[in-house]
Amino acid sequence: MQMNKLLVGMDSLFDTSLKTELKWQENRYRNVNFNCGNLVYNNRSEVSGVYARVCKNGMYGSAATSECSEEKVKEVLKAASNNALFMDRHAKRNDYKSIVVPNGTIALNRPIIDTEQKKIIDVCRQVDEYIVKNYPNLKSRYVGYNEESMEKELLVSEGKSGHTTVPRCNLYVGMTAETKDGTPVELGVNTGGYGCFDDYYSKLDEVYKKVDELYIKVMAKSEGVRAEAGYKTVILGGILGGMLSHEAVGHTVEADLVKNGSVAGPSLGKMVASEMVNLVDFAHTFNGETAPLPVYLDDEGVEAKDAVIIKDGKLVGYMNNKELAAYYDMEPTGNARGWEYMHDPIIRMRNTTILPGQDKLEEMIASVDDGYYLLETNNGQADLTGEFMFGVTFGYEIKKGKLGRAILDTTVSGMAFDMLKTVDMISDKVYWCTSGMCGKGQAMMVAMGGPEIRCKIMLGGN
Amino acid sequence: MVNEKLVELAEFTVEELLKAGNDEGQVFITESEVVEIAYKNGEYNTCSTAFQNDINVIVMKDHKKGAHFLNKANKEAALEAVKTATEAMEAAEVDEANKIAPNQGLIEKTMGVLEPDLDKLFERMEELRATVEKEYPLISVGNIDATYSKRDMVYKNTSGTLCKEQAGSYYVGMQFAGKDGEKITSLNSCGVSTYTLDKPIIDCSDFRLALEQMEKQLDAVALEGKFTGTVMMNTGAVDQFVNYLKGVGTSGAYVLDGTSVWLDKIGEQVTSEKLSVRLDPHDERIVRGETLTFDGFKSEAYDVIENGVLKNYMIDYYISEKTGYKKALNLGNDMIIKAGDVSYQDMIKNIKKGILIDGFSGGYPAVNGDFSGVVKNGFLIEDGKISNAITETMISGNLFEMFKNIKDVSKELVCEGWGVTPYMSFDGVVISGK
Repeated sequence: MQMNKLLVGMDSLFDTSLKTELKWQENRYRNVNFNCGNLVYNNRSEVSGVYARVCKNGMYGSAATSECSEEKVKEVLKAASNNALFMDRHAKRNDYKSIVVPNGTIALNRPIIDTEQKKIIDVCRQVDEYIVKNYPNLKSRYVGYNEESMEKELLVSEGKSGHTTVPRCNLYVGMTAETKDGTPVELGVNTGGYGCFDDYYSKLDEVYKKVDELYIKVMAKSEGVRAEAGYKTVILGGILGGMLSHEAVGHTVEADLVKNGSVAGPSLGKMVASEMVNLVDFAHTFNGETAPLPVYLDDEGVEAKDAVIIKDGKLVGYMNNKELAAYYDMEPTGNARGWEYMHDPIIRMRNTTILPGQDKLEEMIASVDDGYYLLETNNGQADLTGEFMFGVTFGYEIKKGKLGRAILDTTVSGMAFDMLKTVDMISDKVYWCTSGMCGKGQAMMVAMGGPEIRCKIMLGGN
Repeated sequence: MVNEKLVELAEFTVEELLKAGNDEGQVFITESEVVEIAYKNGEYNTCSTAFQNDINVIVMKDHKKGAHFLNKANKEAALEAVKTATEAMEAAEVDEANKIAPNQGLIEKTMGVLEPDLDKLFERMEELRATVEKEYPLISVGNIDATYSKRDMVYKNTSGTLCKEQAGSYYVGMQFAGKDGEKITSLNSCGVSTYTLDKPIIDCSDFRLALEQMEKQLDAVALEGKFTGTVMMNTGAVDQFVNYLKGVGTSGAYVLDGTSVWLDKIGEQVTSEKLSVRLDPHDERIVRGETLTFDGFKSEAYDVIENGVLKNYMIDYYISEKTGYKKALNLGNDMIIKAGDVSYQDMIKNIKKGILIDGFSGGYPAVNGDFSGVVKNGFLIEDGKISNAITETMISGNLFEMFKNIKDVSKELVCEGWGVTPYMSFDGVVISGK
C-alpha cells in the first residue's frame, strides 16, 4: 500500500489495550468566482493534519493537530488516550457493544491531479464571455469554480487500513433575468462531479450546452407564475428525486438519528412506501460503473458496502458505523466519515438513490390532470419525524396532461413515510446530483440520485 | 498576551510577500485549541481536542489579487503561502477596486477565559442533562456539546496595521425532541456562548421556553386548510428571518450585481419603523465580538436599519470601491435587534388568528424576497390564546413585504452570546395546511 511516510510504522506506538485509529488527511480547495465579470474570489487552500481516536470501555478520546511530524503523531496519540481516560473517569456507557470487522488494506483508488489557478481562471472567464456574447439581455451572471478534494490515509488497530481519495470539482453558472415589472429571478446549474479539472473542462462543449439550457429556463421563469399552495399531485424530476432520497428518507435512516428517536426506529421491517419504491445508499459502484461519489473505506477501518434501506416498499436497514451496527445487530456498512482531519467520524450518506422503475416520463406527465412538474432544487432539510422540505427553484404547471407555464421559487414538504406511500409512477432513468454537500454538524460531500416520481406532496406558494 | 512567535511570523510573511515582487498584501495567522466533550445519541461518549494553526495570505500587484490559505503556521508555510498567492495573483485581472486597507495602527484585544475549567464545564453539562431529565420528562436529549475554544490571532499588512487578539470562551449546545413512547416531535436545539460557568446553562438563552413548548408538541395535529394570518416568531426564527432580510437586501453579491431590491434606497423607509438592526461587536452582551474585518479594518458598530430606514449595505472594501456605496464597518455577525414595548404574553393576546413558530425550514429566499417553507414546532393561535400544537404547516410570503407588516416587537430580549433578539409578529402571511 502506498502510504504517507509519516504513518509508516506508527502502529507500533498504539496502546494494545485500546482500539486505535490514526489518520492523516488533506482537504484541498480551489475557488474562482466571477460576479458579472468581476473576479471576486481567487483563492487556493489546503487543510491537513493528523487525527487519532482511541476507545476505552466504549468511551472515545480523540485528538488532532495541523502540524504533521513524528513528534506530533505521538502527541495526538497520547492526547487521545488522555481524553478517553477523562471520559472514563466522569461517565460510564450502558449500552456499548463492540464488533469485529475484517482486517486488511484498501489500495489507492485514484490520484488527485492539481490544476494551476491560471487555467481555472481562464476557463471561468471563457464561460463568462460566452454568456455575455450570447445572452446580453441578462440582468446579472455568475460563474464559479469550486474544487473540494479529499485525501485520507488510515492506520487502524482493528479493521482495514488504506489510502483513498475523493477528488471533486464543479463549475457553477448562475443567471438573473427580470420579469416584465423588473423583478429579478435567478437560476443556476452545476457541471462536473467526481474527478479532476481536466476530466470535465478540457473542452467546454458540455458546459456551453448546459448554459444554453439554463438560459431557456431562466427566461421561462421570468414569465413564470407563483405556484398554488396546497396538497398537490406532482412529478418530481430526477434531481428532486435525489433530494427526496437524501433528505426525506436518508437522514431518518442514519443509525445515530434512529438511536436519537427517528421515525425509522419503530418502522424497521414495516411497509414505509409503495411497493414500487426501492432505496439504496451505494458505496462506490452503481450499475457496474463508478458511482458519483465513490467511498471505498470509511474512517473507522470498515470497507464500504452498499446499504439497502427500502426494498419493495419495506424498511429493511440503516446506514451505520461500527458501534451502531453492533447495537442494531446489522452488517457494518462503512458510512462513518469525517469532513476535515480534525473531525470525529459520524454516519454520512454516499450515493443515495431511489432505484428506477418502468414508467416513461411522457406518460407520467400525460397522466396528471392538474399538478406540477418540479425540476430544480437548491436545498433541503429533514428531521426525526420524517418531516422534510426542499426548495424548488424551477418547474412547470401541468394542466390536462400537458406542461404549462413555468413557476417561481417555491418549497415542497411532507412526512417521508406518508408521502412515499403516495408514489404511483417511477420513471426508468436515474439522474444524479453530483455537487451535493450535506450539513449534519460537519460538511460532507454526498451524491444523491433519483428517477422521476409521481406522488402527492405539500406545496408552498400563494 | 498573544504568542509573540505569531507576530514575528506575520512580520516575516509581510517582508517576504514584498520581496516576491508584490506591491502590497496582508496576512492573518492564528493558533487555536478546541476541547469538546460530547453527549451523543443519549450517552456521554467522546472527548476531543484539536490544535490548529493557519496562515492566510493575500497579495496584490498592479491591483491584481491572489490568496492562499494553509493550516500551518511556520516559516516554510509562510513562504509557500506567499508563493502560491503570488502565482494566483499573476493569473488574475487588473481591478482598480482591489486595495489593501489603510493603516489602522496597533490594535490589541484580549477577551474571555484563557485557562479553561473542564471539570466545571462537565459539571454544568451534566447538570443541564439531569435537570432536563427531572423537570422535563417528555424531552429526549439527543446530543449535548460542551466546548472550550481559545484562539490567538495576529494580523499584519503592508500599510502598517498590526492586530493582536487573544480570546477564549465556552459554548454549550443541546439537541432535543419531545418523546413519549413511539411518539416523537421534530428536533430542536438551543445553545449559549459564555465567558463564565457561574450559573446553570438551563437558565441561559431560551432553553426553558423551548423545552416547555417541545413537550406540548407531542400532541401536534396537522393544520387543515389555508388562510392569511399573523405569524409570531420565537427568537430563533426572528434571527433567521432578519438574517435572510440582511442577506437578500444588503449583501455584497446582490449589491455588486445590481439585483438587490434595496439598491439605491439608502436613507429610505424600507421596513416598518418597528425594526432596528444594529451590528455591534463591542456590545457587552456579545461573546468574542469581532476585532478586525477580513479586509483589515478595525471593526466598529453600525446600523443596517434604524426605525425602518435603510442606513447601510453589508459590503466589504472591494465592493464599496466598485460601487461607490459606503463600506460596512464590520463583518455583520454581532446582531442586536432593538426591543419593542409589548410583552410576549400581550403579543399572543393581540393575535386574532395566526400561528406561533419556533423554527422555519425553508429554501433560501429568492432575490425578489419570495420565501416559503415548513413551520417547525408551531402552535395555532385563536382569539388571543394558544390553542393546539400544529404540524405539516407551511408559511409563504415576501420578505420585504413581511417586514413592512410587523405587528409587534417584544420588550423581552434573548441573548445567546452571538446576538440579541426580541420576539416578533407579522401580519399578512399565507399559512397553509394539508
